Amino acid sequence: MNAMLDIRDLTLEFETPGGLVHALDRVNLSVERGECVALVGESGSGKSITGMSILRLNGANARIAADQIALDGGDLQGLSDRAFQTVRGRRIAMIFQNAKSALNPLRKVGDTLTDILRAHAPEKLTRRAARARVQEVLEQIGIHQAEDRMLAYPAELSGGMCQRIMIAAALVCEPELIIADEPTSALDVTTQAKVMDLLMSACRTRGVAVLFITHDLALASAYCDRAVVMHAGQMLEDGPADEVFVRPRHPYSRMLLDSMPYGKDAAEELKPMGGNLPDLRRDDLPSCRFADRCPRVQPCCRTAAVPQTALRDDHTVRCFFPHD
Amino acid sequence: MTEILLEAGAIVKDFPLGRGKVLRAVDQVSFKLRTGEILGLVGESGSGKSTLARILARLLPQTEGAIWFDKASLASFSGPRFARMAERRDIQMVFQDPLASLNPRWRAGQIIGDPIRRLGTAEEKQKRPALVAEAAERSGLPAALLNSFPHQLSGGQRARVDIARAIVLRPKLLILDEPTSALDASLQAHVVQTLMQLRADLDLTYIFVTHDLNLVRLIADRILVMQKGRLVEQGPARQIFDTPKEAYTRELIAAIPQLGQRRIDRTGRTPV
Repeated sequence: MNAMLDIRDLTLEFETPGGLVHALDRVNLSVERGECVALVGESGSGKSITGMSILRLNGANARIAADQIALDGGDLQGLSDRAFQTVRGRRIAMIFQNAKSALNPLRKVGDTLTDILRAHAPEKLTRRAARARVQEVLEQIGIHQAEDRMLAYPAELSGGMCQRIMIAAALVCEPELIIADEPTSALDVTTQAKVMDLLMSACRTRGVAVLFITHDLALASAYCDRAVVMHAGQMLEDGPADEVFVRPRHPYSRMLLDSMPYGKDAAEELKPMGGNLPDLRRDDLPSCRFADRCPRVQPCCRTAAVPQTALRDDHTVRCFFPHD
Repeated sequence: MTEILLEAGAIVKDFPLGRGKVLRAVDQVSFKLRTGEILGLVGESGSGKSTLARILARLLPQTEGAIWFDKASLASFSGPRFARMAERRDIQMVFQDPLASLNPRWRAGQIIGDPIRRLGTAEEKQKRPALVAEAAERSGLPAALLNSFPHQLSGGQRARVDIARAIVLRPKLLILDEPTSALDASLQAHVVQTLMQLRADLDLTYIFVTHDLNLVRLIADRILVMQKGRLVEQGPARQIFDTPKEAYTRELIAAIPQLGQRRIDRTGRTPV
């Protein structure tokens, strides 16, 4: 059976006045049917633009090259921009970080949701039928007094409620894949737990695959089956979430975990990560872009093509010298 | 038994909503802070923790209640009047979003030196460049960046400018309002390490306002838990996390995601 999403050797560059930015370097990523995959890394590691590349949201100065970007076996790259409209929003939905700014402030949220559904639904829907369907989805995801909520403007709703509305917007067209980019990082911990529980149980029960972009490793481990670790536009480790977050094999994954408070007892145990992300405008980037920060670095890491080593069937690491 | 540095007695803050209605943002909060302690102030958005922090920093007057700092009552002084008192030097605040709180038209060095210009002694004013350089170095801001404007700095560097500005007059108490929440986790560790070093070097006491419970568990000696303006529980950090007494505290702790702890499984249910 085909994977829901299968990206092979995705390379992305941006043309800017300051030079060519080598944003993504041969990224491989797949999401199986009904699977939830976490895409994690620091700010600037290329997580969000990977998600944006799938939906062609990267803007006019982006240069994409990939062996394939396949949805359910069909390569999306050959589609015209017009044909792509039947994919974006309908087969693949996206949930953005800041719901308040993603919603139109001048329209009632019910109207926004109805428009989204009518624009993307494969069949013609009357406004009334669309509204009924929207209300049904809002009720399914546990929003009380859905009919009243639909009459509210975004400014009248809390951040958590706006994010629930965005989840409904993503679910209403019954997509096969949802790309959720930091959907809860603007929310506090109790609301975050409620919104994430709602999003993930809705996706799991419907069999919707999820690409969950986050820098919060604990959140990723609480909801995802698999984790992909990115750094400076390169994919460094890909494996079962329980493995990657508990026994990381790539030196970067390990350092990332060491710098975070999880499982530690005192502030002294936090080990700040050395160095910075490399300047991606450089034309002489080392072969492994983590080389300048890596404690295990050897000369070959900068020059030779770094192999993608399979540690097990479902766990690969892009490193010459992974941890045991 | 160490000394009490600050004591808050039944603090109340009402914000008028118009038509005679009020929002009680802080409701009868009392606690004591010992010298050298790190006090974590936690709660969800809207719980009143930032309002309380601003009252303690004398940026907002309380509606009722008393504050003693170093055994002197601050109750009746706030705002402009407090700015002329000796204690203004001793209580400093580090703000949540440095990009919003740092003057965009000032260079880092000018921002860091501003408290000296306003509150410093004649001697400090004379030594201002040296004091600014020292504060920057202690805060981990490279001297070469003192001529930069806030927008030219990274998030981590901006946080360091705000910290340097807060410590330049050698205060006794630092009130930190979500100092690391705008930062990436890997940068957060750097800033936390700097704050711990500063506390040891300068004998500081911290009030750390945050909703990052994973972090506060590591650094705080004691924790105050706020909900809807009220103090629902206070105690040693260990005790709050290991044996919380109040239902709300338990709920807050249960909501923290933990590594390797599944909340929703493949079938869409919560694993038992």
